[in-house]
Amino acid sequence: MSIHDMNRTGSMTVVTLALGSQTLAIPTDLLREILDPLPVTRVPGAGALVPGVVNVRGSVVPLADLKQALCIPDEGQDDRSRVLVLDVVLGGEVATVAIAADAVHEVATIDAGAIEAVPASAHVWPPEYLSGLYRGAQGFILLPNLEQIFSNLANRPLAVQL
Amino acid sequence: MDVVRQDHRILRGNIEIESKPGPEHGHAAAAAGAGDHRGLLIEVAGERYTLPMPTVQEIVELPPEKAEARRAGDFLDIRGRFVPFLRLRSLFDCPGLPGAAQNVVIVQSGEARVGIVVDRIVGTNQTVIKQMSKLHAGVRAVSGATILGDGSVALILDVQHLVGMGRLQGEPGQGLREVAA
Repeated sequence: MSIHDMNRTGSMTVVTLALGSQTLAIPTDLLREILDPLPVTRVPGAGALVPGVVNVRGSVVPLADLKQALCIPDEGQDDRSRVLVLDVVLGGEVATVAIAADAVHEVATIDAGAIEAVPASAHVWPPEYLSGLYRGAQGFILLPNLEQIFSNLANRPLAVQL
Repeated sequence: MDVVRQDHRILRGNIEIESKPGPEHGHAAAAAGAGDHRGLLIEVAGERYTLPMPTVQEIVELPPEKAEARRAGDFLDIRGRFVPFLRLRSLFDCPGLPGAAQNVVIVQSGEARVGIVVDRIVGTNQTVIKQMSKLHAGVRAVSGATILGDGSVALILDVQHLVGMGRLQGEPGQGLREVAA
């Protein structure tokens, strides 16, 4: 979803979550469910961005670590950790993916007018991976461009011959 | 249909179904394509993987003199035939050291065979094959996944790819060929 789409809709409902010290917002349209941490099966050679798969009600779903993609430092997990199951568009098809969150805060409706473009000078995050940001009570909240992130993950070259 | 499928497993052949349109025939065809297969469940460094049973030829113990990893191509002598083998522990970058006794599962794809060194044979299981997502499409050693009785996910190893890797590991060297001749 681009900023223009968001501005046209007037407002959007998002779920906010913590990744390290950063807060992210994901449109609830994409959210299928929020689960307690699940046993993860490592996929050898898959790399740190999508290190494994989980069993979500009988489906084998890849588990992605957005902290890796967004260059957010890992500050460890505690009992607030959750898994968010999302439906994202991947190569023209809807695919189910899971992402790890250090905590899930709330569901909020934000005014689309409050969403700003990511400043070009913000080198902290890969710019193509963010669709915008807005000012929350505790500082900036990032809107990740999940479609872009996952498309890049699906097409990334793997280092090993596995 | 089950009888046909049982034979199919033993013979490792393909089933061709001739069916007329109709509810019961359609059902039979759907059952054959449901991806229901037996697998050999193995364990490496606490992680479980499944090998498609039709590809498994035999299981042998890893000879103690082969327990130490060597840099050159490793081969096993299976009744006078040299079979290359791969150590899943090093292939999959597993932490820790293997136990005293390791097993080798000999798998076949086409005419070629490769031995796969594992920590432990867990047993056979009925596997319902689940596709891997596009995010893992680049991982060619894995052809799919299945869900075990305890709810955990076990990856299904791509035997064709592993056999190819065994070949890449090097044909038997000149010395070995002389021994074989």
